[in-house]
Amino acid sequence: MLFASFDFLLFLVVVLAGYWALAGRPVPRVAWCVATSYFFYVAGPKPSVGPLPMPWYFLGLLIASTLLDYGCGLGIEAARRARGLEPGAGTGRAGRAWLLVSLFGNLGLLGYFKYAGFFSEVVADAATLLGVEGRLPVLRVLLPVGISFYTFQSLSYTIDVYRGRLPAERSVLRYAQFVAFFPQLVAGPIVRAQELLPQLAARPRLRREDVDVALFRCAKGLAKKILLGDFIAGSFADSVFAAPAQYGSLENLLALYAFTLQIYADFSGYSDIAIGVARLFGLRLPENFNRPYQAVDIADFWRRWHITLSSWLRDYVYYPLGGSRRGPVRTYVNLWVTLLLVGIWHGASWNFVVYALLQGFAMVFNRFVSREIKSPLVKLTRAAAAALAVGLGSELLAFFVLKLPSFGQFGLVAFALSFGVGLLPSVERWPALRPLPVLLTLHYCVFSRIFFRTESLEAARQMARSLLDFSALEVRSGLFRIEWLAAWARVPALGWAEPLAEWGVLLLMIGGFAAHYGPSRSIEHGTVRLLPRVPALLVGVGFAALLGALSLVQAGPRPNIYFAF
Amino acid sequence: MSSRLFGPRPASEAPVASGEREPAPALTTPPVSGSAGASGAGAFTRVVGVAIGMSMAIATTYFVPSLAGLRPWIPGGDYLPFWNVVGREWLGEGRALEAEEARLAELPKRARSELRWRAPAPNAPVARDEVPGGAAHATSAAALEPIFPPYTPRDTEPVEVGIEQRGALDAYFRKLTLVDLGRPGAIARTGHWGDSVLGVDGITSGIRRRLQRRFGDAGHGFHLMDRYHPAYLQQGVTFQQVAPWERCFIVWDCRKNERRYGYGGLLAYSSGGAESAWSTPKEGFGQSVTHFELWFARQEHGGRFEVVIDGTRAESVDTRGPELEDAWFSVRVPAGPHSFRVRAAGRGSVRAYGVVLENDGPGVVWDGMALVGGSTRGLRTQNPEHIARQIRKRDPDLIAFMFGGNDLERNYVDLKQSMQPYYDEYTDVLRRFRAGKPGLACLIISPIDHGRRLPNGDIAPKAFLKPLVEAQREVARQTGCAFFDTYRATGGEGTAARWFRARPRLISPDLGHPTEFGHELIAELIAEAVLSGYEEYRARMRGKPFPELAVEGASEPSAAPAEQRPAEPALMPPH
Repeated sequence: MLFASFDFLLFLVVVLAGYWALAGRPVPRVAWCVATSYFFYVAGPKPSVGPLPMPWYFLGLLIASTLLDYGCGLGIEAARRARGLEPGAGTGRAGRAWLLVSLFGNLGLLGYFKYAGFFSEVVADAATLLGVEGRLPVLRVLLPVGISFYTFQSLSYTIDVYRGRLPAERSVLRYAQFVAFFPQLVAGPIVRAQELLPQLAARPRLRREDVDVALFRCAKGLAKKILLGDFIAGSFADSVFAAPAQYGSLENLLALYAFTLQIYADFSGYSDIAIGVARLFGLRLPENFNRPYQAVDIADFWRRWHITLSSWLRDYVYYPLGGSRRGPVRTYVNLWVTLLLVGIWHGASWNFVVYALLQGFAMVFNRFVSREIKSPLVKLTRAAAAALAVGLGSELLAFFVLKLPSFGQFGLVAFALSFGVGLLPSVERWPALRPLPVLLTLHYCVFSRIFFRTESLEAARQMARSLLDFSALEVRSGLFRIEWLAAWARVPALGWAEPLAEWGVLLLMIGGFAAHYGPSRSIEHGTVRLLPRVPALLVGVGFAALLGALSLVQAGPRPNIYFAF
Repeated sequence: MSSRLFGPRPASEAPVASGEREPAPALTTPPVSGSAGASGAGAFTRVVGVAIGMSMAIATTYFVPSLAGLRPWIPGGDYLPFWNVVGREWLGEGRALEAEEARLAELPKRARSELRWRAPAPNAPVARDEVPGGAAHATSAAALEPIFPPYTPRDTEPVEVGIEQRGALDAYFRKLTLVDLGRPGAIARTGHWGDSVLGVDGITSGIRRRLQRRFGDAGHGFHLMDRYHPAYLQQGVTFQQVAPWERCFIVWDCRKNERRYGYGGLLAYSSGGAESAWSTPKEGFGQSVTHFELWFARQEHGGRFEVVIDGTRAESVDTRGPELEDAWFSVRVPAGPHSFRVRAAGRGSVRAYGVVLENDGPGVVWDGMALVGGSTRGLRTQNPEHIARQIRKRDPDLIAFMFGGNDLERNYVDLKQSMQPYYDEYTDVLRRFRAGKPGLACLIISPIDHGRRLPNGDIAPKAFLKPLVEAQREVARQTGCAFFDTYRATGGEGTAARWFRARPRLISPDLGHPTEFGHELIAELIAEAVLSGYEEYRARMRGKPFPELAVEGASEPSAAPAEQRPAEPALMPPH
């Protein structure tokens, strides 16, 4: 089910009514939550365009994963008791076999549905390159919605039980509610069991403040997703990404900016709605975004973007690998592996492999150049060495992956930029310099989005070539036009709106970025403070008016980008 | 810059021995349970109040007619709540849609497979015709009795939609036969003009690749002097604009006084310094070139071109002449990969139309001329003597046209009452092009379905497509051209919506331009139709007289192989 749909409004009213009617009866309340969450998972709208949603019986995978980890949690706890370890004591390990069952089960599910097709393509390609006769079959597996999210969420539970951080959940219903709670089921935030299970165990309370915050978060999330996400994509960016070679350098660059804004608005908007809706149930979900495009370096970016995923990988991959405790070389390896997993978590294709490598190497570079060093000569040498590595890596990327004719120049520019970055002083010591690293980090993200968004490696190449061609440094007429606004602007009295109509999409993009970098936080806080003074009826009418206005630009419900991961 | 990966390092991050616990992640949100806050009563009142307000607002849309567009549910409309359960499963709507989705999944498979294996396998032999007894027998036999030899059909897939009025392509198939029999110097050339649907050489390179795989690679063919639009991008040749040219594109109609835009519709000119470069690709088709030809115009006070081959050999071309006239300059090179540069070398203004890169064959050449924003109405503006001369020089065996995408709004304008103006302009274009080579085979290729988006997100077909396609069919019939109904071959009405649903997508979000997968699919349909027509021709012509087979080198209408053609007055003594 999509948040931005009438279905969801109908669904939410019924679910909330049932939930609060059963507030004092824990078992029926939890059962109601689980049943309605499962219904949410399978009851999608009919798509106006795009493929059909997954069939209802994919719910079985979610239930299977839930039961598997519920059982493994109990098994681990039994093993702990057998060794005299208190559940939730925080010390000691026991029940490794159960943990392995959970790991193999969840990662096996994820591996098959998400990566089997890609691996079969890789094998088929390799076989053909080696001259093996005939074409090997390539698997095409339908990806269950949300599998990357709920498997990770479930795994965090069994790992934490194994580590003794929390006792196993006895109630299968409550555990199922933890895994399947609908606001965060299909696209996060990935919630830890320690955060959510205690809330689910307690009797829920709803405060007036929760209602206003929830409404504000939902309104904000919907506006972000529909206006800055779907509308910009449908009006402009999608056309360029579908055929990047047919657009000029500037048009491709603007499309990348548009997608950079779109993916943030789409995903953070979803998180806003999830957090807001959860508040209506008296539950608190963790924040997932913190103005990521204000990051001063790639490490800062991943502390601000999809926070629950990066912290999950920090706690369950980076630290177990040793974190930064096993020397600098091992630290770089651990960083690289962690970011590689972040990248390929997003998708199974060569594009995401390249995206993951870009993120991994950027993190290693950042770590290498940002250690405090007093000697200017050593700092210079370090920056030069790092820049040389970056330049070489960039040439390899340009030659082998992007197949750019000007790969030498590409490497040179990368060398120069990274040398400059390596010499930049710390933002903590020179705050006035902050815009520069922020701009550089933003543009590194923008560049890596080529691989995130294009539909194939060949399309990524076309886009990169178009970008670096520096030809056609103009924008074709009508590219940013809002058609329905342009139709209104033809009315003589509304002629003043013509420039708005002609450049509307671009203005929206500028507005979106301005909101991201501007003082919108204080505006939001002010709005939330004012909201309680507005009568409830008016709030309802206003909310409906917002939904109506957004529906005019929406042109049919559109799934969130992260539904595909 | 912060060096932390994910926030401050926990204080307990000391070297960890096995068995020690990792620092616990901080709780990011406090639990609500047991919170000492206001009770729920005020909150529930507020929730109910908001719900009532929303319900009143939504109900208003059903009572106020001008707000009808905001109604979330319209009785009798398409909307069904929770469709994936209610509609798809309970009401059984899913089966038909799933069947269609399975069919859609097949479409891009063929395109995907072709895109992955674009380059031929190393040293893959061309699948030419095999004459019983070998080529020597065919030659000696042909010297006595030149007839069409028997033909073994390939395992080409049967085509659902073939070429109509196939006989109109007999002249082209005749040349293809010579190519297929390995006649030295035999090159079957096609000039293919179209609107932006031919952009990025997607469809034309797909056809080119398939036919060259079957009959042989005779080179890339014609390339404009410059990229006038990002969508003009040719595959199978590496092009670089080293220094920009002034450009006049036929669609802009910027040369109203003379209207000479060249074979490809772009006039590039410069008083000095402009430069373009071409090189053969490192893999795939088009790797071998034996001759490079510059297409330009002489004029009073004309300047000079410098043509540089492989960075070493330079030729100078003087474009002075008594009056404006088309001219050509050719260089021959040993067969293999090469690079060419053409620079406006000053001493006056130079005008250029494009270049040709070919080898000696036998093989196929398929020129792709994408005219972004173009239409038959625009093509009609070409100076008739000029375009006839260009055609005569290029000497194609087939001309093909794929227009219509930019004519879809004309039903509101000049085609509101009748299609006659459209018949007239298309017929006129064909007449002008064929004036350069009487009897030239021609093929009209219809556009595909185009879509438009409805407010609820659905995609509806553009209504004018059908009458436009019918008009093109009628033009083909009246002018003696063949016709390929791409519209029907790709699925007819509603194709744009289906192609947009397919994964990978076959049509762009603008619902008019195919994606690279769509290009491949269309190319396959056209190429298969041409091959099917060729096979039918060979079966029909078996045993019939074939005099061209008797004369060595009698593969060109001018009865002279490429290297023996009368030299154009192209190479002037250097000053």
